[in-house]
Amino acid sequence: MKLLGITLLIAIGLLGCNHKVKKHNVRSAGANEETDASANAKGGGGMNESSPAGLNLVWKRYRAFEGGLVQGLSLPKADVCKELGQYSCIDKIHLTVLGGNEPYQLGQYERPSAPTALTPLAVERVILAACGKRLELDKAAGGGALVFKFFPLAGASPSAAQLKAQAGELYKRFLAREAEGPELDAVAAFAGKIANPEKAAISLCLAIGSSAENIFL
Amino acid sequence: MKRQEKSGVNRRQVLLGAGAAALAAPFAGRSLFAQGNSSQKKYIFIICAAGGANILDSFLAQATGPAAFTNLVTVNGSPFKAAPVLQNSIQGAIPLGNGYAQATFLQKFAADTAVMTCEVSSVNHIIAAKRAISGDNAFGGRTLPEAIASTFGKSLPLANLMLAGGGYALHGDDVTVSDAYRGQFVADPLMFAFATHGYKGITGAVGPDEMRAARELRLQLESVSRFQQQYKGSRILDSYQRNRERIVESLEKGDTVTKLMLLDPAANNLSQYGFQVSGDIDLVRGKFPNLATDPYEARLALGFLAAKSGLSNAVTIAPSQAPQITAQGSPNSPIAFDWSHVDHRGAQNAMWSYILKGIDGLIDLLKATDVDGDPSQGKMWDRSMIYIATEFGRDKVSSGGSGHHLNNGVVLISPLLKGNKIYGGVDVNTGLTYGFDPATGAPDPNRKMKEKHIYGAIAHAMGLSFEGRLDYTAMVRKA
Repeated sequence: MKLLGITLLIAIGLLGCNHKVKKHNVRSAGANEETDASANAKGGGGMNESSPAGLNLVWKRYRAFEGGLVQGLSLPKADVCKELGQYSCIDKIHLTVLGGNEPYQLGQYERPSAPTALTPLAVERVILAACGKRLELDKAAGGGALVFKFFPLAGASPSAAQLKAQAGELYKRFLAREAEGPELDAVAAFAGKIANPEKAAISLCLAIGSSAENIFL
Repeated sequence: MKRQEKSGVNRRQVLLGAGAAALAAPFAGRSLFAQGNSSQKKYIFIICAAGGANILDSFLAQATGPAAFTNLVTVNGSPFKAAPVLQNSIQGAIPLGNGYAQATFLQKFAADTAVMTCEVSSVNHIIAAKRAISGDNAFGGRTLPEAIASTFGKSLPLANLMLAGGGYALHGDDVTVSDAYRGQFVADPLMFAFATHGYKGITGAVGPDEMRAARELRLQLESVSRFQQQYKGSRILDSYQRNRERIVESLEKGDTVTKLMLLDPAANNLSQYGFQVSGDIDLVRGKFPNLATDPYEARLALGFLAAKSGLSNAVTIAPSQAPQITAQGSPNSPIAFDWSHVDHRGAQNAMWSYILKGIDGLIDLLKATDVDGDPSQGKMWDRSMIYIATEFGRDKVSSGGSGHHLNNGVVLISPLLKGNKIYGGVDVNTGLTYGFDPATGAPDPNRKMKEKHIYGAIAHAMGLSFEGRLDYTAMVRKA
């Protein structure tokens, strides 16, 4: 009985250690909890390869990427990004480079196995459009702004403290975790680099939203 | 027959490459386009005749035998034959074909055209298509576009542009190929330009200064993040970040978004969003007048512009699998050449015309365009290879439907080849093709050419060596 208890304790301890290695922070629930195969089938994730530490790193493909923006920025799916104000960025224009495929016209039966050379640019376009839309909504909402609410969007350049507070909000919304000290220090150093508060807000949103941590799981 | 003993490019190319790298070093701050070495650049355009383009329905058409035509067209001074333009339809309801005559193509380009017979190893579409571009793993699993992009397209931001699908678009099995030379997929050629710029045309977004600041901040945030520390060294992460830094600014500074913009400005409010249509739009529209509605023409236009603009040197293009039906009918058949299952002669006749008319326009453009805009480098055509790739042949029939058949031949068009020549031959009684001696070019009824031979002949003509490659001296004009 004593031996069984010790064994159980060791097993629980090992599981705990393993959990710490796999998840150094809390991630948004949903696609990232799926297996590679099931996520891939839904346009969600997709197994790519392992890091030297043996941990899987998975490309967050178009649907999971879009889902993160819809949820993180509280935007309707249709408002996330449209090229020329009419063509869906995710379902049409940038589908392939964001990890989807187009089987009908092109006969693309497989998705790209990894991000393509143009994926980073498509990511930036989508993030910028989504951040811009959220900013537009928050400006119209006045005191009821949801995301961009830590400094006035017209007038003086935001202070370091205001930018850090805004960054903290964006880290939670995009990456589902608290910003850490060195990250906030980098954000503080960003103060004054962009005088226009709207553009500073969008730039901050782009920097955090398009960081690699929001592209891979 | 002499076999190549060294793998990869030959010694001369290695030395040239090293020299080019040394020369490029002082110009590290310049656009990546400028770092590409024009003197070494070569282009391959792979036109995917998906569904089984049967050589007996084009330049090896026969007057006798099981697949005989009654009114073959001959071209003066050429061993090739041309199938006549037939009155085809889709199920008797929709006129089928664009009326382009195979003879027109031969009259213009026979001198640079070669037909190479073959008997391939699969009648499965996906497997056979992959083997058509990988030579059934002739070069360690490296596909032709990967090999040509990595050898003659170094530093090009989108060296291997993939405007095709199915087995033609699959990566090769060589895991050592850098991600930079893997196919860069294009879903919609008319919309592709948007993905070459990070912020232009996004309403209310930021300008170049803010973008630069935001990108710098992103780098700083990543450098201190635990995520970065944990996954540092991961191939997928490294590749993503390397690509991001490698091409983002070069594409934006090079105004690629304008160079590749094919959308009709009037119908899409381009100017309202700060975009302009490509300065070459009239040039490509002159050859591909239906590019706004026909995906094959749009892909040809984009592929040419990407090569002309110094972005790509290996371009793979397939026609749409869907018929482009207008009031006049459809220039292409449903499911491309594979419509032969239903109507062999109608599908083959219409699709060969469709494919060849597009290539006709492409060659005209390549012949008229300087390499990288530099007249001293000569015309793009002088360094180009066009390979009409197909999965397999079809049953040797003249009516009804046809199944897949291993026996066939492929069309290569290039000034790098000794053209106006058939490499191999046809048994007039059976319609089956046979091979040839690569050294002398002599037909050999006892020899079958495989996928690796097609790959090898193209490689030799383009100056690419690898272990096990035969010499195709009889076919190569200059290496």
